Amino acid sequence: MDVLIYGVINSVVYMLMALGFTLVYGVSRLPNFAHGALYVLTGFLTWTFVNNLNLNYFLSIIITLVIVSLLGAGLYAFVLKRVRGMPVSEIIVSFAIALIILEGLRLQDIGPFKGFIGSSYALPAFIEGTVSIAGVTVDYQRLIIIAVGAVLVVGMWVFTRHQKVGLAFRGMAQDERAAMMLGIDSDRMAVVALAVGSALAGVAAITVYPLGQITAESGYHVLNAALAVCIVGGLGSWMGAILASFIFGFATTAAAFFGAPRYQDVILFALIVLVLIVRPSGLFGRQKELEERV
Amino acid sequence: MKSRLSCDSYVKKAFLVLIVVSVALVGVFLTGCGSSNGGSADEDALVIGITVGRASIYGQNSEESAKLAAEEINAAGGVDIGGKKVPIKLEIVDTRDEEPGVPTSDVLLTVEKLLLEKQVDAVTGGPSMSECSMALLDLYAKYKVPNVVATGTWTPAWNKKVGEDPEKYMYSFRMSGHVGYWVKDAAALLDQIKEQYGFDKLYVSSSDAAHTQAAAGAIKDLAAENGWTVVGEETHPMGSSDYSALMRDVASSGAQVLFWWDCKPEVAIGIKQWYDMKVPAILMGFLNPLDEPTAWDDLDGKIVSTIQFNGEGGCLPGSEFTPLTSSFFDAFVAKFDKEPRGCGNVPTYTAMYVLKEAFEKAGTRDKEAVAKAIAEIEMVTAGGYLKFGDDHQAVYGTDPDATLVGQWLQWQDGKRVCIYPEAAATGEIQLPPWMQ
Repeated sequence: MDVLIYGVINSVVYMLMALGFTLVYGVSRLPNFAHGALYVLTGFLTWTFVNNLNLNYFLSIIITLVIVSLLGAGLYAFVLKRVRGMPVSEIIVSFAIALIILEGLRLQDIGPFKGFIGSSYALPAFIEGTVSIAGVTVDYQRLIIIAVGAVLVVGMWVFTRHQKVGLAFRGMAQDERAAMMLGIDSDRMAVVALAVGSALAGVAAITVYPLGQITAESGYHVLNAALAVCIVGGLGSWMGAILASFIFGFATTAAAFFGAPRYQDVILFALIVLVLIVRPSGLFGRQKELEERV
Repeated sequence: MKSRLSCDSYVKKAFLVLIVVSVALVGVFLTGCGSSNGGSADEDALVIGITVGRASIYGQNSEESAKLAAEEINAAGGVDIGGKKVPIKLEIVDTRDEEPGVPTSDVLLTVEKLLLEKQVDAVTGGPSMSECSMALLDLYAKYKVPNVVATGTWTPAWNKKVGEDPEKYMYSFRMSGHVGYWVKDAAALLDQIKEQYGFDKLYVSSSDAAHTQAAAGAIKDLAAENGWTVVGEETHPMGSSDYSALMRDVASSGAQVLFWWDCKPEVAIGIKQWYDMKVPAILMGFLNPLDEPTAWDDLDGKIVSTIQFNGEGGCLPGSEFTPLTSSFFDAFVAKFDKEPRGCGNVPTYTAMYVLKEAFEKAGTRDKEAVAKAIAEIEMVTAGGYLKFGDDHQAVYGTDPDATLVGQWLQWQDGKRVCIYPEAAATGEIQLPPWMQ
């Protein structure tokens, strides 16, 4: 039962970290390596609003999500748009932005800015306390993570099937040229995708960070997790990302409960290699398949 | 054409929004922040290089303490070298040694640049990464610059290397302690718990890093020698985000103490899970988040009764084990509006006074004379009584009248209470509420 419950929780954590990345890639074919940095930025911004400006926690979250969305949109409009279509440049530029954000957060004495260093930055849990489920103790924050994950998945499904912009997203994801011929503005969709993807990174941050603390280093971890999930799931496929999240979540949880926790990462990377050997484009990916057809 | 115009107009609007957001972000981050700069400019000033990884807490602790000491020394008239009073000027460099992806060679280059360009009279601070400090020993020997390692660098290999060739490394000293001392302290503290509560079952956990595993392994062996039964042990990957398996394992093992050595901030997740799952074992160890003076509020009080190694002694409120302990603590709080964390604070503060003393005693800036003067220094400090061994390592023990001491704290009612060593303790070990 422990494995089942914590397996689901850890899977949803992976999923939350990866959803924004896969959405952006699916719509715009841009690998946003600043994804983890936006995640971290959300945490520190929210912390700053709550602790330095004494704003209400939920108001702080909303303001932060708006800011991070705008930042994501700006990222595309002023930077990534210029290099779109040049895969290496896309990676270098977006990773450079990630470094600027993550390392910038740790700079000290830039004017009166002291930098976010140390372990004293944490967001409060939405609801404190624990509950016992079939004899397994789980805190409410982890249950909230599951709920938020479920809402996002359902929301994404509805959005991409019943909303105009969502349908345009799907069109872009399926065939950008055909979508453009039908009047869908590719740049505009990419801007919106970056905004939504960044907001999703932000939602992940504000739901996951209350489990522990906010650190700049976690940005690299989140980027790694998102990349691993998306590659195994199939770049750009959010159904694939969800499936890969659950594979990773259950594999690492089972490794910790039944085997030795130190081998969690080994199992994780072995799984990645295994999946890519069997399906080079990932579980739901079509990249390799399309290339071979050409 | 229309679409193109519409796109341009959109870009312009978005550009404006981005500028507004950027300005707002800068404003937000600048709110409520403050900074200071130690030292002053003077042609004759005694130039002390401060080598710290500014993105790490060890570096930050060290830098702040150096600034505090420099300010105090300058306010008191400076350093008397051969009858002439000169101020201290700090040359602070960021060694970046605890940042991901920064190789040791970069750290060495930074320090070499400092030595060559700034003409420093002496160096203190870090780097805190052992491999960097080990490599720097040869650099300092080459340039013959007196230096005192004062934050991190806890490897016993450092003093072994110096001890094997004291002539070559005559300019290098270490004020911070090393794992050999801390492991003995941990074993003694476990015995204290055993005596007080009759516990004898131990679970040992560490992150998957060479130094944490080595330290945890040494503690396990010492505890076993002292009659503890090690009922479980585990190593987890760095940066884990779920420790439920560990906590379940500890609870089912019958352990009464969970000793945990982990140097990553993500371990806060595990500390909270220990509290939430009400694991019936005292949590003690070396866990970075517990070092923060604000940890009680940061972690919503879920650290009650946790026991943490606080590093070199002198950073806990209420400690007065030497006449200088509380004056350092109060001065630090007055200057920085926060309590000192622990590791690297007192050693760096002390190192500054040691250098002052050495230059005054030598009466010259001659580096060899200064190095010899450092070796002979014995003095009462905020962290105990200082003297260096033949291997240039400051001697640590449990009696602050005879040696420097390391301190262990327990979080009690939102406060950091010193529980070890006995001579410095301000409170007794308590059990977590659910174990009482």
